[in-house]
Amino acid sequence: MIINTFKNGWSKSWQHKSLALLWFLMIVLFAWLVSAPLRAGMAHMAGYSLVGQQPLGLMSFDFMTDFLLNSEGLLASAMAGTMVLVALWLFTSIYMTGAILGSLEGDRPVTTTRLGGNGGRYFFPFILHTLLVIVLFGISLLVPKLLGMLGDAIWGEDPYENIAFWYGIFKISVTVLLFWYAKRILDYGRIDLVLTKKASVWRSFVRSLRFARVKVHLVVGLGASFAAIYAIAFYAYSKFRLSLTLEVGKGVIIALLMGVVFTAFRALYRVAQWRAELDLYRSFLPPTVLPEAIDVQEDVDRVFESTLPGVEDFNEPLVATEPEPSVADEPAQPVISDDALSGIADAVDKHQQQD
Amino acid sequence: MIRTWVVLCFGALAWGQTQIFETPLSPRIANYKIDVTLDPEHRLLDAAEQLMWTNTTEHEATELQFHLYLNAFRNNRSTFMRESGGRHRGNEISSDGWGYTNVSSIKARLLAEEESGPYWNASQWPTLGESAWSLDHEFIWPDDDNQDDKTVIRVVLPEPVPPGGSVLVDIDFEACLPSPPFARTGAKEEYFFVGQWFPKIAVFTDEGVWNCHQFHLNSEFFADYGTYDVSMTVPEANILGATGLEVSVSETGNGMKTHVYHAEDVHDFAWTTSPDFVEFKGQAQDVEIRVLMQKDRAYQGERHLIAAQHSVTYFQDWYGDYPFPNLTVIDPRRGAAGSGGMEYPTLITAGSTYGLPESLRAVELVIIHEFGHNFWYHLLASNEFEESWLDEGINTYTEIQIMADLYGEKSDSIDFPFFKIGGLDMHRNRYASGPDLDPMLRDSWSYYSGSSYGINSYSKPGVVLTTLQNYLGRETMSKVMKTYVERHSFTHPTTEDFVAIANEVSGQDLTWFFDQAIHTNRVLDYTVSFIKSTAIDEGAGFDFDITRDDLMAGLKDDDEKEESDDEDKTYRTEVRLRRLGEFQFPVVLKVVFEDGEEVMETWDGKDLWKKFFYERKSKIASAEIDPDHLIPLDINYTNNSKTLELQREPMTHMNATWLDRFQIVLDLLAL
Repeated sequence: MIINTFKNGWSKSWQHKSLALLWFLMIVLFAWLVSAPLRAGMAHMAGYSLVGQQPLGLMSFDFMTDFLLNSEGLLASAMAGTMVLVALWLFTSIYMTGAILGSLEGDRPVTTTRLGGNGGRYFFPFILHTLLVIVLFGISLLVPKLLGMLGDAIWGEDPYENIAFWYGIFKISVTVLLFWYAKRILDYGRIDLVLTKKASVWRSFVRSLRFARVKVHLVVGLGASFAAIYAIAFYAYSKFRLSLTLEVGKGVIIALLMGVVFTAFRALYRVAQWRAELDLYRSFLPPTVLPEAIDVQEDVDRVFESTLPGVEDFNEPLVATEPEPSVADEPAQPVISDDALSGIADAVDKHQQQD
Repeated sequence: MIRTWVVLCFGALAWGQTQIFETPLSPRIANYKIDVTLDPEHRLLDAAEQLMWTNTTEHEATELQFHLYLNAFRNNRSTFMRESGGRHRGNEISSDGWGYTNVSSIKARLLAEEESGPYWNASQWPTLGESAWSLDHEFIWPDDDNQDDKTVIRVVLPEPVPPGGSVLVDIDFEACLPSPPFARTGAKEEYFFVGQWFPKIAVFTDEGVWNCHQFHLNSEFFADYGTYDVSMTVPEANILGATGLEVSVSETGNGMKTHVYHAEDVHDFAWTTSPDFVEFKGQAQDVEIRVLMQKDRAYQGERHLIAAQHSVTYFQDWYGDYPFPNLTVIDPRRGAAGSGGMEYPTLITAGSTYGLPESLRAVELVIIHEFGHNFWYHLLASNEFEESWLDEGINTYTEIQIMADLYGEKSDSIDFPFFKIGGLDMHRNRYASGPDLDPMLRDSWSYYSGSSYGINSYSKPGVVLTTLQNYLGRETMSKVMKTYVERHSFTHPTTEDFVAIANEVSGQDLTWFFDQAIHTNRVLDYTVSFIKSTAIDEGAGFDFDITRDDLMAGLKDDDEKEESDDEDKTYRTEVRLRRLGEFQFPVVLKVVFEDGEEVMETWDGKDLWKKFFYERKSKIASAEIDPDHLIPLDINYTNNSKTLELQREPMTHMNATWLDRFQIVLDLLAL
């Protein structure tokens, strides 16, 4: 299932390459803006100097020394602007995420109107949802402290340095993993919001938490597949950049092109991961709660109210896989709890009546 | 020769005859015999010290002055603590880890001429006898009048020590080590590093005054040479390392062992003990190396040993003989970094952490630096209180040279695939961050700040001497350093001594250079301020015999000339150089024309500016001062060159690199 979802994510990403292009352009634009003071300062200082004549792979330490020591005023004044731009980027990335996820969800052709509409529709729910997930990020930061106390309890406050070192690596790894896991929850919560047409931010958050807990193997498996691809690509790109020991003039174009290719890859990667996560999440939702089956916006909230409060767990796929053969008219076992089933049945009845 | 003598020496030691050198290498002025017992539970040292001190000056010594360094850590009112706020090199004194030295008794008597030796070790010394004086001591504050500072004492003698005379002094004292180790010394659990621990006599100068400064945050030490016979009683499970050579080890019967060490021609004595040491042994040329590693870092033992071997080999090959038979390298315990990175005669402390990558050459750098001090501090015992550049600065220079030769100039300190830094660049960077706060030479506690002390004692001298090496040539500089070692080993050389050697060996009067570099805060910064190439229109204007007809024809010619090829044009090129700093230094200028022609010029750098003019068929492409970067003292390399055209490709690359990095960061930040 992970492999199919992973492959499907990439193929859909290629189909929606206009979305990747959009992300690519936005990130280039913001990086260009954020780095503008630095680039301008460097150009002012070194534009007519020979200091730039160096191998391509590494920045000159001499130049960085000169630049930092002689550009204190510039850097200080640029810092405030940079912070504003970074903040603006964070909000823009949230807006863009809504636009892209909204477009991916329906597999509909990408139009400016649709992108703008989706971006605007999900902007505030996504911000609220992000604030909720930030709590998770915060908890992730507490974990090393707790692990440190645990370590003190086991080894005392003066353990051998090799123990402290490896335990430190373990603590960092756990923290990074938790951060990464929280990021997945962020993704699935947003996907839930999109699939339910932003029924309830809180409920989407809770459902994404439940999903990430119950389907942890799939969430981690799919996420790890993407992380592995990113790590390989990043390693290859870094190796390539470092291998450019040519003198300036012979490799600038190659370096530029490779930079563009890597950024484009990251944009496609992002769209592919969102699409794969969307497919994975959707495959475990009861068909009755999917907006395509309802099409009446105001019903969505009511349906969720009546169904998912009773849904304790996401257990088996209800959409993407074939249901198990079962006794006629009996719900598949063990799909969801009895309470949940009755909730869903009620919802289906109501839904049919409304149709 | 030395190797043979070491063998003889060890043979002699086996017979209980403690003699290392055939003849004394130094004037043995301050000779010590100390019996000390460690109380590990209370980190206390209970000790009896005997000092035989000789007055080698032409003046009477009416009193003796001693350093009690550990009293710097007695409370937060000492001069050290007031200056440091309780912090030293990133370590903080613990609120329950203070240290002290308490002197409980001082007795002394003058020695008759026939009793004054020379002696090879303290077992041959005369006894104090019943007629010895019981002496009081008082604290003095020669530097800052801080009466809460208890780091210097004066002992007035009933009779002066005459020129050439000697005095025998018995001092009973108790010392408590700070915990964890702070400012080079202290205890941490089972680990003890014992430095600056005993009442140490100051230097009685040729002017007949005591040079005895209080213990300051930014200062190290100054002492006379002598012999040391030290017996240290520690728990029997402990391994011990110390200055000098181990003479004997004996059990005391109460779970303790006594280690006896003997050292000759040294001016300090430090020791360490811990049950957790793992020992590594090796050899470098004629020097035995012993590395005492912490158990949890034992896997780095080989790395430490190799670094020590490199140190000994390079220093002996490049700068002169290290006459001592052995070197001990100590790896401080975890949580005891305060005792790391320090030098003592024949014993140095390194500094590492578990998992330190090989590409981060902290171990190598520290060991090479600290061993270097066995030349620039130990063999050449300059006054670290007053001329810190002579030990730390020269040592930084030699460290830069050795590290660059071993690991490559641009990557000898940090050598990751994506990030490389060379030692010279690092020191140049540090120097350029505050180049004009102080001159290099001043009392070490009177710099503008701790950072300025660091810059002027370490980085600037390293950069200054590298600049001088590039100016004189490596071979001449090597001769300067070797001559300095040969001429001034086992003395107290001064800045003037070093300058005199440099002048003599180079055959030049380098006073102009040293005066600026050492005694002023002048900054060296030359720049190419202007370049321009202008086409010369040879037919422009009127000739002297101009007629109306000529005028008309001339104008016509001008029109034709405008259409002529660029190849026919001649360009007048102007290059202007400026001296932006006050430091004057001769510079080389490289001018490159668009047709590839290169012209080298020299400028003595004395005036505020200099212009160069050329007439060529080609425009100028670039002009660069110090094209080979031989003047690291120049605080700004970027303004050393100017090009006629914008450097599009380098700038494109630089822009693309930063754009690329910001993209990756923003991508990771995206919510």
